[in-house]
Amino acid sequence: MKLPPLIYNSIGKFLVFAALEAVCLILIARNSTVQSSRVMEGVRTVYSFFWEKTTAVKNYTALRHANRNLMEENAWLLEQNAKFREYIVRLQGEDRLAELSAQMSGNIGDSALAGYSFTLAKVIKNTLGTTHNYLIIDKGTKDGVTEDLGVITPSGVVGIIRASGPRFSYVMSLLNLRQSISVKLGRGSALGTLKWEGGSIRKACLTEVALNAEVNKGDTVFTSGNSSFFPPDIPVGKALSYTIEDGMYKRVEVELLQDFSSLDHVIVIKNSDKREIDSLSAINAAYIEKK
Amino acid sequence: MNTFKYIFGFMVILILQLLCSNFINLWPILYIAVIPLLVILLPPDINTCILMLCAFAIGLLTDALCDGILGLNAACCVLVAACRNMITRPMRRYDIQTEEMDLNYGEFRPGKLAMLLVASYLVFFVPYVIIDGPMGKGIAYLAFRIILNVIVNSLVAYLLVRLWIRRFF
Repeated sequence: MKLPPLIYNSIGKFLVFAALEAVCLILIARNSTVQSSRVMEGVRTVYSFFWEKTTAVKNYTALRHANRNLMEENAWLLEQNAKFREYIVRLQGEDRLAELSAQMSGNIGDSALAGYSFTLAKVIKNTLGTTHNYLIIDKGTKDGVTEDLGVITPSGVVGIIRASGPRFSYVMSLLNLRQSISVKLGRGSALGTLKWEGGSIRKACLTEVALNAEVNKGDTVFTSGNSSFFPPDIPVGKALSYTIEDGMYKRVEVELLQDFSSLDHVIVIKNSDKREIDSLSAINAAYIEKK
Repeated sequence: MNTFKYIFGFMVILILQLLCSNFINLWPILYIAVIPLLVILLPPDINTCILMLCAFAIGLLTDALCDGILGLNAACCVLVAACRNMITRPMRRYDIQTEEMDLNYGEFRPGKLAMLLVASYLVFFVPYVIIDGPMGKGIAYLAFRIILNVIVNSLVAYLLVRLWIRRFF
C-alpha cells in the first residue's frame, strides 16, 4: 500500500525534528549539570507518561486473565468460608450441647443419664399443621445417628427417630397420632402412655393410668425409663385434669412443656445398652411366636 | 547576485549574533538573539527538513563559538524552523506569475512583520528560558523573562529588518 505524500512527508519531518532535538538535548545534558537534571526530569516525565499509558493498555488487555484469577480466588475463598462456617457451627454445637447437657443434668440427675450419649442436631424441617407431624434433623448415620433413638430438648420429649439417611434423619414427632411414649406421673410409680390426639400442640393425653394413682393438677409427667428410647425422669408435661376411662383407668390431660413451634436444636439420645435390650426383647418375641 | 547577497546577509547576521553573545551583556536575564531571524529569513520555498538541518547547524555554530550551553540555541532554532511554515502561512500570498504561494518579507506591512517576529521569538524563547532558567525559580519569573526577551528581541529584529536586512532578502 502506498502512503499519501502528505503522510510520509509529515512522518519524515517529525523524525528529522525528533532526531535533531534529541541530539540537542543530549548535548545540553552533557555540557551542564543544571540543564542535565532539567532534561532528565523532562525525559522522566515523558517516560512516566508513556509508561503509565502503556501500563493502562496492558492492564486493560490482561483483564480477562485477571478476571479468571479473581474468579478462582473467589471460589477458593467461598470454599474456605464454608469450611470456617462449618467449623464455627461445630464449635457452637459443642458449646450448645455442653450447655444443654448441663441443664439436663440439673433437671434429671447424672445417675439417670449414665449409659446414654448425646448428639446435638439442628432441626431442618418441623411440621405442625397435620395430624402426622414430623421433623428432619441434620444428623444421620455418618454422625452415628440411627433409627429408634429418642430426641429430646431440656424442655421435654420431642419424638423418636424412625429413619436415618447418611446426613439427615426423620423424627416422628410426639405430635403424631401414631406416636406414644411411656411416662410416669410425678416421681411415683403411676405409669401410663402419653399420646397426642390432635388439636392443640401444647396438649396431650396420658392414658392407662391406674385408678388408684393419685392425680393432682400441676403434677409433672416424666419419662418412665421403661423404654430404651429415653432415660427416666425427663420432664414431659404437667397434669391439668383427669377423667375415668371405661371405669378401669384414669385419663389425664397433660400440658406439654415442650413448645414445638420454637424448636431450633434438639438432642439425640443414644442408649449404649439399647442393642442388648433389643436383642433380649427379640428373644421374648420369638418365644411368644414359638408358643 | 541574489545568492551572493543572501550569503552575505547570512554572514552578517551570524557575526552580529556572535558579537551580541560574546560582548553585549545588557542584563543577565536578557539575551539578544538574532539567529531566529536568520531561520525565518531563509528562502521560503526551502523544504522543512532541510530548513531544520540548516537551523540546527546555525544554532550549533553559535553555541560552539559563544560561551553558552552547547545545543541550547540549536534546539530552539530547530523548533523555530519546524514551526516556520505554520507561523508564516497566514502571511503568504498567491503569486499569479508562478502560480504558487509566495512569501516576501520585504513587502510585509509593519503589523504583519511584527506579528511574525513576535510569534517566532515566542517559539524560540519558551524552550530557551525553560531550559536555561536557574533552578527554583517560579513560573512568574519564567514568564517575565520570556515576555521581556520576546519584546526586546522582536523590537531589535524589527529594526534590523526594516533598516538594513531587507536589502539582502
